[in-house]
Amino acid sequence: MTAIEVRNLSVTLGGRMILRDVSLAVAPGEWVGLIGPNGAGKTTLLRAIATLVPRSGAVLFDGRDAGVLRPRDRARCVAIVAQRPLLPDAMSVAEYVLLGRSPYVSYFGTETRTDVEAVASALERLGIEGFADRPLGTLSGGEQQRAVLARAIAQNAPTLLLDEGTSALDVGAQQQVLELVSELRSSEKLTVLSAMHDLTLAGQFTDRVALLSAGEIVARGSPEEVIREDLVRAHYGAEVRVTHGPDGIVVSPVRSRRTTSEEVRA
Amino acid sequence: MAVASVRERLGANRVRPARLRIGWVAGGVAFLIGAVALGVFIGPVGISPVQALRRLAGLLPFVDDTSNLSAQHEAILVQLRLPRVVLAAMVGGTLAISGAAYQGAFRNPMADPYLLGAAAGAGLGATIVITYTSAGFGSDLMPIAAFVGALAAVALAYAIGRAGGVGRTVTSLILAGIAITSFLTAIQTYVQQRQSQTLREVYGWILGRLTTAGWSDVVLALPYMAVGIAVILSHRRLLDVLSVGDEEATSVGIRAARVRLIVVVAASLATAAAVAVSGLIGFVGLIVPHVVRLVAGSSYRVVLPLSLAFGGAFLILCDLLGRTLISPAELPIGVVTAFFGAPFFALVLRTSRKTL
Repeated sequence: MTAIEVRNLSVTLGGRMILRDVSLAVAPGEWVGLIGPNGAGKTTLLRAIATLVPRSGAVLFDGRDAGVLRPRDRARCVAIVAQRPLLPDAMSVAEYVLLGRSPYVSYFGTETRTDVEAVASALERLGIEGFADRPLGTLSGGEQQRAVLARAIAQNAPTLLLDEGTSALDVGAQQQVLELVSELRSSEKLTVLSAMHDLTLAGQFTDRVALLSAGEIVARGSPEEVIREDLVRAHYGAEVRVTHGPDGIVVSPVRSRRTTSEEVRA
Repeated sequence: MAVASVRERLGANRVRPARLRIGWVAGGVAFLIGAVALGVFIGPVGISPVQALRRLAGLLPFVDDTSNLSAQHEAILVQLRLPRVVLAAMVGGTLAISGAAYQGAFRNPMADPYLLGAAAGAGLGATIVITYTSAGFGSDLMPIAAFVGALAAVALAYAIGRAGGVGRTVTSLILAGIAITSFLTAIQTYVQQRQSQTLREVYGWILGRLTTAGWSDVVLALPYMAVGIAVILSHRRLLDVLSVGDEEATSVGIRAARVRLIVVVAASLATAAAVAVSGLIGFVGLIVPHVVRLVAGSSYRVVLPLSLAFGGAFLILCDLLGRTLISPAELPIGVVTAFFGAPFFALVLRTSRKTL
């Protein structure tokens, strides 16, 4: 059984092929990281899995074809946390997190006590229960990210798609979010597929990674197998040194050629 | 006890869907009743409020009319002032709630039945009926022709706005609406000038026509408005979901495009009915929802019903100004609302620059 299975998925946007024949399987409870240079198609792959962009090929959630699921049933299978979600300034955190309950509310209905309790518990699990009444516009970047995660948790879907592709968060906030996702993953038994920007963090948090380059998966496996100096050089065009520390791999950029101050003066 | 303490600990009591507070409902209703009273009591012919109230009470079932009004005063009160006030309340409420609905559907604080071209389209449809059919004013055809015109205009504005580029739709929508409005107004002027025998009539109606309002106008517009408003109100929660964008709405299982289409059709239907009976009255759909948002919150569960009440009251008061300021002459009501609306528009533009 797989939580997410992607078969021969291709996406063409504005006449340009963004993803070509991508196949990927994520096991229940697994955390798979999508890495790759900017523009490789990480975000598009997540959006295609969530049926937010037109695609060809098949996406299956727990063996069920996503293409035939009703939108609300799909939303009960998979929640997505976008890179820069649109957050109305005046909307309160509680109202925003309540939107995650939409797949459980009938068309003309309103939220029930169950929905309200699911929201309260999501707020508590993300440590933002004290912010319930605060307008979204008054939160810091890290707090907003927690609110968005709480909305996804309230959705009560077994699978979380997380787009941290080009994170707008600073190092600390980014790390905290990933730690939170890691905790939620064990407490909620979540399956996680995340687009990741920082290779060291990808190595520290994920079980497996897939390297996307120019719309195709070019390498996949454990972080140690994929985050290698030669692959990073070939696909990111970056010189890095990969070392193995106590928390996993560490990717540090190296300078191939140092311009000395004598050369500058000359 | 366990459940209660768990709920307490989770803070469930602080989490609740945005709700219309009873105080606001009472305020909206009181304001509307106050406006109706002023509209009925004030006029060039002095009818004492006590007598007017007695007469109005007499309209209720099982209550005797104890007012002893003269036949003339009776006619002024029941056949002139009352339908005019009722129609103003209906038109104002409809335009305000439609404006709020357009703002939610297009996620654009400047959307309004007039800026989107809906009113101009409805105006063209109605003008064609007045000038080219024998039925003329007050015909059953007017709301239908107005609806077709309104919907065509919004569809065109939306299509042109989208062509401006995905992601820029919000800004380009208003520009497209303005272009559509100019175009339709030009056609409308052409049609109107070609038929000189109806010129005065059409012109007076365009500036906003509550002057000749009668019960027949109320009856003509009511079904369309009721349906449109009911549909808009039933989508209040979904409009809140749309406020986080189509992508997020889709990801939580909402068919965003379908919800938008339904709300826009309903708002256009209600707008068309309002235009058909009252002409072009601008800015109500912009001013009222914005003030409501400022004072009562931005959730559509609050904005929509309150816009209905305050919009009705606002238009009654504007109409009152229009007929008293230069009495015995009357200012067209569209002129009064534009006098308030245009500066307000500039203010909204200033404060909403970020989101536009």
